[in-house]
Amino acid sequence: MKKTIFLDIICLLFAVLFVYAAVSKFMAIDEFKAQISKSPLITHHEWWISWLIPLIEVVISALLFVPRTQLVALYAAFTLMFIFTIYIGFMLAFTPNLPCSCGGILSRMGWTEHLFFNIGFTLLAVAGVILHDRQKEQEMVALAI
Amino acid sequence: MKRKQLITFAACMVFSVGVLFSLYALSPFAAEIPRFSFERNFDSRIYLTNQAVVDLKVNSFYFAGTGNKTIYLGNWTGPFHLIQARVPGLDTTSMDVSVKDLKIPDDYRVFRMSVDSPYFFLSHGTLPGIFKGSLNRLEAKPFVSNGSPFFVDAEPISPTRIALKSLMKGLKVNELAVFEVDSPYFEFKPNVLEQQVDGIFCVDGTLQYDRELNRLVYLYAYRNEYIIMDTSLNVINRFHTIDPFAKANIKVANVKSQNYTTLASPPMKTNVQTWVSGNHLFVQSPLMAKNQEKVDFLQSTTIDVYDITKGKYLYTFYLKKYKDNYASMFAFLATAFWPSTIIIWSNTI
Repeated sequence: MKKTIFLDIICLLFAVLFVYAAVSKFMAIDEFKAQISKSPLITHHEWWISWLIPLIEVVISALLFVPRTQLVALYAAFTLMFIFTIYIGFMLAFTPNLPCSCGGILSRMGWTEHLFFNIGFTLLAVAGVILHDRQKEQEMVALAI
Repeated sequence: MKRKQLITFAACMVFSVGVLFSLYALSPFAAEIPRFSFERNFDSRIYLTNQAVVDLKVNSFYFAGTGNKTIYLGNWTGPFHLIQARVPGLDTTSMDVSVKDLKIPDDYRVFRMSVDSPYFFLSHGTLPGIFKGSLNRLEAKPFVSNGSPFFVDAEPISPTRIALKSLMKGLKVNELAVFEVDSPYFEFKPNVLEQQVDGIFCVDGTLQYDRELNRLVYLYAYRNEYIIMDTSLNVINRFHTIDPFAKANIKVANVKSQNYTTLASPPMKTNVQTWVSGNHLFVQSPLMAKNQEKVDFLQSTTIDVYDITKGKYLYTFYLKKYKDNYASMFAFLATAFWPSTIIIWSNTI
């Protein structure tokens, strides 16, 4: 049962991260919009991206706690973190001015710190998927017996 | 890890890269460098060579002023540090100044050193404070004993007078102002900067004093205009740079939830950095002209030269990249040396 606890902790960490990030974006959506519009990768698309990102974050958080959708949610969390990671890597490598728009205290992190933070969470999603599948197997075995 | 997991993760990664690639393909990164409808004059055939190079080790130095055969460098992270480099050999002397009764603020990186030999000025617009000292004693005192107004930009005109750019509270616009040691101390000159969009970002620009002509020069960052003023900030002339942008092409967003205004979308700069020396105004332009070689444009910093007594565009030359870095800042010494110029490179990494 130890593995279940780890999996729960991973899901909880993601939910806390995503809900916190989404709420702080929604609370000041005009600010978030203004900030991401300064990013050369996003400019001109900020009007829909500024809503879509926090929305996806909330949806993933919810799906993480529904047993049937947990696996999909873990893959989705992985994908989102992976997108953020490449985005940061790209911005660090190619743009001189780095606007930050992560919301709340997350924006206190420097861009390089953020890169490592994101890589950490991306790997956490991988661990979540592995734990989830193992747990599934054990349940199957238990059922068989 | 199982095969199925690997495949799913790979699919997720491919999807992520796809999403970002579409953003990239739609972004200005993927777009061709635009050519604008103006031509540059390359007839001067000025090719600069590095006559002397000093390695400054860190990238936080900036030009604080030039004197007779001397260049002064200030430092953003060490606001009390000053380097003097003598031409042509560029032998350097380090100096540290002190400021009387100053509690160093957390945002000490805002301090800016400005040298007008034999004086130096240390200014901080949000402290706010302007301090003046002499290069012989290296000790600064408040420029005016009963304090300084808030400001965005400060440019010393004489030992007793400084030109400021400040926020006019009621109108919420930036204006130029005179700040001096005698009464009336501080006075706005509200007819110099002309509002086009919001009055703050749209009037952004560089403020520089030409010591040989006794003229103050203000060049807008987002439009093709520069203003020549006398030492009391009376407008003498409004001249144009060669690019076709008469209107500031910026978008401003009001963030109501946090009650502030910010630039939305990367602004379209027409003029980046400037230097004035004698009759000449040197402007670093980020715009590519019709008759410009793309390779040259990408491998160097483009500098347009204007004659500020006539308001005439003269010619353009390139500052080539040095060790694969663009010049982060430039300064030109007295016209007597021109064009055998010495450049100190302070490279950003």
